[in-house]
Amino acid sequence: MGNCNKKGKPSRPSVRDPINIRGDKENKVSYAKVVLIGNSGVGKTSIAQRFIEGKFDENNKNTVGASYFQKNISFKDGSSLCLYIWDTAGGEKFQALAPLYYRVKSKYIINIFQNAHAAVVCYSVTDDDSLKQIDTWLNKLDEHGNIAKMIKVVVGNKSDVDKSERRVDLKEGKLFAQQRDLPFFETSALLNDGSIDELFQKLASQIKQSFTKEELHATV
Amino acid sequence: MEAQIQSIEAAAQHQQTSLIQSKINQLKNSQSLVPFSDEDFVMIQKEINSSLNVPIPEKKQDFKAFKSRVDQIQSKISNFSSNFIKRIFPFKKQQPIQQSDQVTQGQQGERQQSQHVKLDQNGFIFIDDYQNELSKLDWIQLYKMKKFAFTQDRELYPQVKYQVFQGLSSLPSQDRQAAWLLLLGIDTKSEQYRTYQELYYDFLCTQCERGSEQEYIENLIDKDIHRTFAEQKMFTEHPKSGRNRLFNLLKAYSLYDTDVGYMQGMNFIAWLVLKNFGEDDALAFAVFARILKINEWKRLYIQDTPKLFEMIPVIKSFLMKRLPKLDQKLTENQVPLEPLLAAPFITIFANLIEIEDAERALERFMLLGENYVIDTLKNMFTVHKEILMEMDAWDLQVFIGRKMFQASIENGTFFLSHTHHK
Repeated sequence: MGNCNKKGKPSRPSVRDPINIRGDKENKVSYAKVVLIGNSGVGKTSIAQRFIEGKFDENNKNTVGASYFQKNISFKDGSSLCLYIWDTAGGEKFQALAPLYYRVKSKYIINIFQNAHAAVVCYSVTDDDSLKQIDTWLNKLDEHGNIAKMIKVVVGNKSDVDKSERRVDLKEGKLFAQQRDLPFFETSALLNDGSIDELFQKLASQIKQSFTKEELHATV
Repeated sequence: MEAQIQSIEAAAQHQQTSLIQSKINQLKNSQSLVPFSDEDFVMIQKEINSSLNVPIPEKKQDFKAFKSRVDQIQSKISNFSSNFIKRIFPFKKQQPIQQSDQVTQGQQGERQQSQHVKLDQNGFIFIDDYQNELSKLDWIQLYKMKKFAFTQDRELYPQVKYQVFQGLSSLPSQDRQAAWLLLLGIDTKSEQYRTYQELYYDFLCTQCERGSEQEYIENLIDKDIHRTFAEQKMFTEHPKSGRNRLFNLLKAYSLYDTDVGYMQGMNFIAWLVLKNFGEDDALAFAVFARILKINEWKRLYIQDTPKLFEMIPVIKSFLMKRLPKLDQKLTENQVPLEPLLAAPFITIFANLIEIEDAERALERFMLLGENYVIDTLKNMFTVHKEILMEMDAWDLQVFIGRKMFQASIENGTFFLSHTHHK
């Protein structure tokens, strides 16, 4: 797994960090929070896994609650951005959690969209209902997100499937995103075709352009 | 001098009575010793709720015709676990164990308590002098002897606990099945069980209408079948073929308990149940349904998952009292515990650790209930407090949400000793 360590800083003795979870970060590194959302079964976890580990696991488990990934993206100018990806469960009952965080009104409790710099809203090209639900997800972002300039992209996953299994064509997805003035990608987590790397590279550049250094230092 | 002795005796008696009273209260409040039915729960929950001020969510009424039928059948099943009351108040009047005056004294206190509760005389299982070697519990024999009230047997209970904590994975499958049935209080010879059986086959034959809510639920289940320990290649039939046992079980449950329907995470527990009940799907259904009754566990899977929002505060108050620095750090960094700790509760750790470990965890849960999960999480925060203190906001989430569990398994701190859980 890529991490956000920057070379140059003397590494700390590993005694207190036996499982190497902690990365020693310099101030120069920027962080961004990205949430992966969309209906159950559209391939959110597979997208994250393809991006982070460069592989496709056909034995993935359905996500319960949320799962977390991190990966460092390097830019041509030598700078880098560390993406923290919240891979969320698509199940409807988990969606019910978000507004609840607000209801409790404790500083401790926040919803998963809070302080997110970007959202990757996914559907599956094999499931036309998952495309229709994109609007529901976008509404949730508007309702619960707190960063006005949050970057949103629409992603149609499973582009590798046979024509006979496809329910949403490329054009349809493109048009859908266009009408909402959002960038559009079609990806395959199954194939190693670079579609997912391209998605996150573009997303990272966009984040870097849209947010100041300070904004990319904010906490979770 | 005599007066002095008398006052000392009185004080000792008083102490004894209050000790027993506190034990009863502890039992009532822990809700953890035995699985029990909805009815039993409500009785205790009312008390707890009144102190915590937690609203019990109102039951949703859809699916009316079907529901009423299920309710009808469920009312037949409800006394399935009526002996829970007997477990809370372990001694009855006719119980002939009188080893010392103190015990008699104690029983009086308990008897007073139990007068408020109607006990089913017929179903009471009386345990006297059952003895066994610590290392060899004959689960099948215990099951045949219907030792469902083992928690009130002062000799048997420690042995059961010890065995469960040792792990039951080395047992032949029949023995392990008997152990589960005993832990869950399922008597396959009972009429109640036969009702479960009938119900299960009724559910299997139920076809959902197009566009119905049930169809929507079954589609959700369908999506998760191949995402449940898929590498084990166990339930590979097409979900809607009627031959996929995992799908069938979850479908049956969704019809049985329409408040729940289906929620992601239940699939992992159902899989573990089916793995251990290979031949008898109706029995697996009863086992699954019973597990979800432990401490009203099903309230994790209903709308708004109220149970999660009752259990997370327990962890939080533990952090506040015992690990104040870590608590402060989590607060400052706005680390949300609810989504991070959703999976360990909703799957009873099953999707976070290896299958063998998940089975062990599930068996401990059957024995100890929610306190097992809560104690395990508390311990994990304690064990990892130093490393957590060094993490930043981002890493805290990755660790608490995912890595902490396998890390605890690997450093041997995940499974606590049997003396740890009260």
